[in-house]
Amino acid sequence: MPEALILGAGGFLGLHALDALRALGEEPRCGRRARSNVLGLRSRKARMASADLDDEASLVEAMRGCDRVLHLAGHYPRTSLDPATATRTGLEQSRRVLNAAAAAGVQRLVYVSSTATVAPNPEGLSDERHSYPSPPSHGLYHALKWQMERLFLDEQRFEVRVACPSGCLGPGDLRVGTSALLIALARGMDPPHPDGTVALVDARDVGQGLARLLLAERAPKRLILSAENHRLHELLCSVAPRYGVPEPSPALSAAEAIARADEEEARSVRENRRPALSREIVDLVVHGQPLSARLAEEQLGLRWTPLSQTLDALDAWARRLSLIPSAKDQPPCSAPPTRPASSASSPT
Amino acid sequence: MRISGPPLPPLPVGGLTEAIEAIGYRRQPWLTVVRGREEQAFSGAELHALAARWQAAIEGAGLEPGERAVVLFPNDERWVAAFLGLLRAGGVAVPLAFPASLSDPAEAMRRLQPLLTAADPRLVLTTPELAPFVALPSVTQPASSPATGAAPVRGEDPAFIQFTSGSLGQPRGAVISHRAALSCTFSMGLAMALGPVDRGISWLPLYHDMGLVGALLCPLFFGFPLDLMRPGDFLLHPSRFLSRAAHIGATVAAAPDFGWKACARRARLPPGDLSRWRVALNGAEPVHRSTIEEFQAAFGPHGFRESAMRPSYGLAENTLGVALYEPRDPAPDLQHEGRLLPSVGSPLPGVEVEVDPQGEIRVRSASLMSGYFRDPEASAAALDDGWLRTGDLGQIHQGQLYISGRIKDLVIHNGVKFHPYDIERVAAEAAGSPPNGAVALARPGPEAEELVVVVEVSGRNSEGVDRRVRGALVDQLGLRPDQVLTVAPGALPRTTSGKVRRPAARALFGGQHA
Repeated sequence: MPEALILGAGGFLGLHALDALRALGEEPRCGRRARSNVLGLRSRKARMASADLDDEASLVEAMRGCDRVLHLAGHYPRTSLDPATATRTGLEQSRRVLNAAAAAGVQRLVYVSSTATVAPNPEGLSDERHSYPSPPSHGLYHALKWQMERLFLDEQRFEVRVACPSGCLGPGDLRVGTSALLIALARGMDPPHPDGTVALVDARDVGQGLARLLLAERAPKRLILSAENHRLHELLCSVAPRYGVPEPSPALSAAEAIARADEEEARSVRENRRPALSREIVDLVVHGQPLSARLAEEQLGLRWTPLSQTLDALDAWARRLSLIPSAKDQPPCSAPPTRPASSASSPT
Repeated sequence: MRISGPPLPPLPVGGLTEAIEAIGYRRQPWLTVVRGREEQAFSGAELHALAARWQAAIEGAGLEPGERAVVLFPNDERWVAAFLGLLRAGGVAVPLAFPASLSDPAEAMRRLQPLLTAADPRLVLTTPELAPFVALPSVTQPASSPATGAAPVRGEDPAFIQFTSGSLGQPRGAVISHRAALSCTFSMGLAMALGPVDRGISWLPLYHDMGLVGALLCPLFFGFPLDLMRPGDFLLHPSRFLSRAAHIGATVAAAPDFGWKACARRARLPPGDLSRWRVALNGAEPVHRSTIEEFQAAFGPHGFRESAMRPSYGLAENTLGVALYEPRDPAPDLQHEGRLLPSVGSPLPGVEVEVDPQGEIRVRSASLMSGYFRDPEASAAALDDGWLRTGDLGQIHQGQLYISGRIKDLVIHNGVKFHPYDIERVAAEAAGSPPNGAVALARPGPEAEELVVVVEVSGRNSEGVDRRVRGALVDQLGLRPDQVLTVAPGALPRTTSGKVRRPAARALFGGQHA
């Protein structure tokens, strides 16, 4: 029986995809780099294979005997400060994956892109038909994701399917990516944030969607995986009572958020740490748009976990890891505290 | 007194058809049909495709969503695919017992006629051999090409009608909604910690609630593979079931008490390594401590873990499971009127159980039937303000449920109440009959109720059976029956699941005098 390989299996979404594939009876190989964190894979007793996106031979070897590859390891620049290097790295690694898959005789590859590549629909919700004709100029993240996705969509040697998950929430986000603002809010840190539309989805549903996209005999070439559309500031205000913290300060303007993120990214490089507010997040929120994932529901029978249940799962996990205070340490939700006026940063 | 299981988390899917769609992505074997020494494996995708072709055939035959179709097949891929295809078409399945023998198909269908009349189906999905004897439109083959997409269903829509085994009265059709079926399956799966790494094996007939929900819907919902045998193969060769379980590394199986006892007493060959087996669900009839002990004595040396045998309680009116014994929460047997009752555990997630002052067990859960099909009177009698009156007697002790019998089955002899199961167990054992080869009946006598014990005895065991049965009843229960009747094996009227049909037996034997 041919096997499947997951590139990026040890990551947040990769582990959920692994769980979903196992639930469908697959026992995929899990690609790993020499220095990657494989705690999640070890605890799941996953079968691992060396696979480095900077080493095409290792990719061919890892893919040998596999008919399907799920690629979640696309380059994800930590900051937007060096667009040229990030773009070169992202595109070179993508070409290596494609060439290795062709050399190893892979029949189908699912590439995990981003909803950053989905263009706005002036008439309402955007769906898979809405694409930018050329790289969007919103920032590095959007432009790089567009170029990488284009490479995969243009592949002719084997079948490629592209998944575009929106902001993923759920247990296991060790780098606290999309969840970062929620975690910061829950810790009472009043996170600075822009406002805009955020499309969100439960990471476990994305895992299911990716597994089905990889295994389905027939499926769309490009598929959005997204559950709910929200305004970010409203969302943060609505979840504050859940953590017994005051509502966040008003949102930053787009210009202020971009300036703050650029500044924060520069400082994070100097101090060798993750930026508290990344340009990628700011661009995604500021240029965010409401999405429709009806195609995924119709074609793959996917159903989306309601946000409240996703947050319950995220909270339980984050509390277990002490990323947020345990419920008993928090005041009851019935009377959420208000933020003192002096601590609010007013938008310009 | 009332006990409750933990809350049932929100259902991860909305309907059975969603679970059916999910299995279609599985390219590994999901269903392996074992016929004697032959086997045939179907991947989830293959079975889904087959179900989609059955759906096309069913829709082509004119079935509209919400209409009923009888599912009448042997225990194999046809049953599973036709059932799943019917659900995809939005139909309501009425599983009926496939005849044990097809030597006289006309007679076999005649016996099913009362159920067919009661179910009033639009279609009968069955084999080409039986179809000519069905006086209704039938579908015997899947279409050549699949239907696309499943009909939308709501949680409250009926998914299937489970005719109760009818051991105590006229069979009634418990209408099970999609939500009830999912709730029950989810609840049972949580209690057993089922998951994709499990491996199921079953010989239970799929038309029976334990087979349909325990053996088919659990693997469907939790995505683990199932080896499906035919009941007749098991009854002839319990060894094969155990060998197969060892061979595939089965982790979960369900059966009534008599099935486990048959394994313990009749399996002759060493089965192989049973150490992966972690759930052996024992339910659908009273659980005997002796069965648990005999099974453990026989198969403990082969790695079967004592904690795997899980007494349970359930009934078709609650889709299936109500309570399940949890070995991490051990409970002693309960002394009750001179016998030992094993605990059937505490309620499953989302299930509440209470015992009313008369001792009747009542159940409330999201898995309750919507009612009996076209029987508002019986439905009103069974469902009381959201609670199901089970007709079973029980006790709650230290948070655990114990089943002591059926309300209508009590045999009162010389002022002492006996549960017929106990009398039958002793009588069958003494007569050398199978565990379900005896029936104890009370009949009105000139002064008081009289006890008649009817045992099935083959020629070679018949000598002195009257003396042996009487002696054993006196020795073990202190009970002197008024009459012991012997009949040939197979003479007792039985339900499709093999239980003795008491009203019919009473009609046959209750009035006879030696």
